[in-house]
Amino acid sequence: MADGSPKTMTLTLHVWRQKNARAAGAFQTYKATGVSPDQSFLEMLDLVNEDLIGRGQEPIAFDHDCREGICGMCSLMINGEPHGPERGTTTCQLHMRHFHDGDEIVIEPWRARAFPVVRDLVVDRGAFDRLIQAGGYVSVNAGGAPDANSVPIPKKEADLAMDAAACIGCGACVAACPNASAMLFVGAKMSQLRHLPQGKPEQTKRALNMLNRADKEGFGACRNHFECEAACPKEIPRRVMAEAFRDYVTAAVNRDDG
Amino acid sequence: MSEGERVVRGAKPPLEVVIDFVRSSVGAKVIMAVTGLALWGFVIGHLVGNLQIFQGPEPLNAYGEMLHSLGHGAGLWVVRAALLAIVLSHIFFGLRLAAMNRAARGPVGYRTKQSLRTNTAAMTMAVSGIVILAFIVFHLFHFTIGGITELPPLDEKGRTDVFLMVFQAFKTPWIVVVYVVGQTLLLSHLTHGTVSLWQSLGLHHPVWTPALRVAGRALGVSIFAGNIGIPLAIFFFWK
Ligand code: HEM
Ligand code: FES
Repeated sequence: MADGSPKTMTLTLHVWRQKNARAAGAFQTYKATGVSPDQSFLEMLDLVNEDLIGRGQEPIAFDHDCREGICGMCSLMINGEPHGPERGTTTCQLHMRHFHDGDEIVIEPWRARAFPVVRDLVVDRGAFDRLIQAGGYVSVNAGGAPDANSVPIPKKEADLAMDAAACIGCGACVAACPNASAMLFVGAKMSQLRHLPQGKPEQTKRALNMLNRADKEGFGACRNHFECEAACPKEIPRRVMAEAFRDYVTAAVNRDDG
Repeated sequence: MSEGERVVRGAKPPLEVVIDFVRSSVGAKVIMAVTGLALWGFVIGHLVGNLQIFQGPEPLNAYGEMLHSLGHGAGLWVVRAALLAIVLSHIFFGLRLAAMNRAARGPVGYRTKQSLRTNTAAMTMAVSGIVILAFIVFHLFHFTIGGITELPPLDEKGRTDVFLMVFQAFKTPWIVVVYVVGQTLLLSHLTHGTVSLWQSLGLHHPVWTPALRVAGRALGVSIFAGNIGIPLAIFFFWK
């Protein structure tokens, strides 16, 4: 390597390996050598996998897609923190410069009854899709694209909706929650619609359907620890959960059907 | 109800609404918050009444007599029944939520899990709650039902001598310890409860939420100071 290039690191990884949904899993220890501080966490895992494949072993399965922090596919509990130690950052955008030579890193899948492990570090987040199907939509005839600004929306409301819409549905909130509750996700999906005119008509019905669905999927009950808020790579605020509780109570008081 | 059905305001039979609400996790959470708020109210009223001990025997014994004669003696039982219902609901839904949440993590837990924003008080609500329950039972046997320390004779006006009863009790070291421990757990419980309850009720505001947190914590510490102040003052300073 040329002079001035950054020094590489050697890391010890303790990775959860599990053949399939039914098999029992266990931690396996791997050495990651030649890790550059400029690599992302996933690139570091790619390196380990190339080595495993070269030696004829099964590579570590993990979810990823865009690697740009926008799709929500990557996950991983890294040393007890969803998406690792950097706040407001997805695993794919986490760089190895935040680790040190010789570090031990424990890598686990999201743990929740509603997110069963499919293989190694990959979990089935289909429960989130079913939550969206239960109410995370607006029932409008789309038609042609309307003129811009034809429906005036106050800046404040637009901002509240847009902040909630930053959610990429990665599931870090569930992974971080001591009770594996999906409240931050559900709250974000409700909030991005409830602050806009198109989302208003179904506001309380949405609360009933999405939150009852969350119970059925086996997510836990929120007890206001706010671990989700700290773990969220998009920094969705706790405000969206208060809105969700309020809408749910309003729906009950109005005796809305789900 | 199937998904995608028409919304009909007020269409659902009220009983069904209540049953569905009570069965849901958000409903249980809201019940915890409402009963928790009611218990806050009780704890404050209870302390304010008891602080009259610092005014001497006459006001305190008169206060006790007044409570017993509310509504010709029925008032106290109405309040007691309401408190019992509130405490039982609080415990029932608390334990139900705790059971749901234990199941929600799934078959395998984390090997390492960091806490980023929560605190010990929040993580130990069920434990502090159960200790508080044990304390409440002890407290009732101690001063209301009897059987733990000997109760003094009636005062010269023929009333329960609340003052003397409390005075004698808090000259016993282990009883003082029980009260201080019970109140410490209550302080811990309220530390999280005061933050949690407004959020559960759906109230969140950039200015009022932090203000309510500070006010709630200050009130919690005041309640703690007042409640342990009585046994400690008697034990260490009263002759
Ligand atoms: C009788 C014994 C008690 C038990 C077993 C108990 C248990 C619990 C449990 C399990 C929770 C849920 C904790 C969480 O949110 O994670 C809770 C919340 C709470 N408790 Fe208690 N508790 C008891 C007594 C009290 C008392 C005496 C008060 C008030 C003076 C109180 C006030 C609260 C409040 C304000 C909350 C927060 C409600 C919320 O989460 O929104 N509790 N309690
Ligand atoms: S891979 Fe798309 S957000 Fe990380």
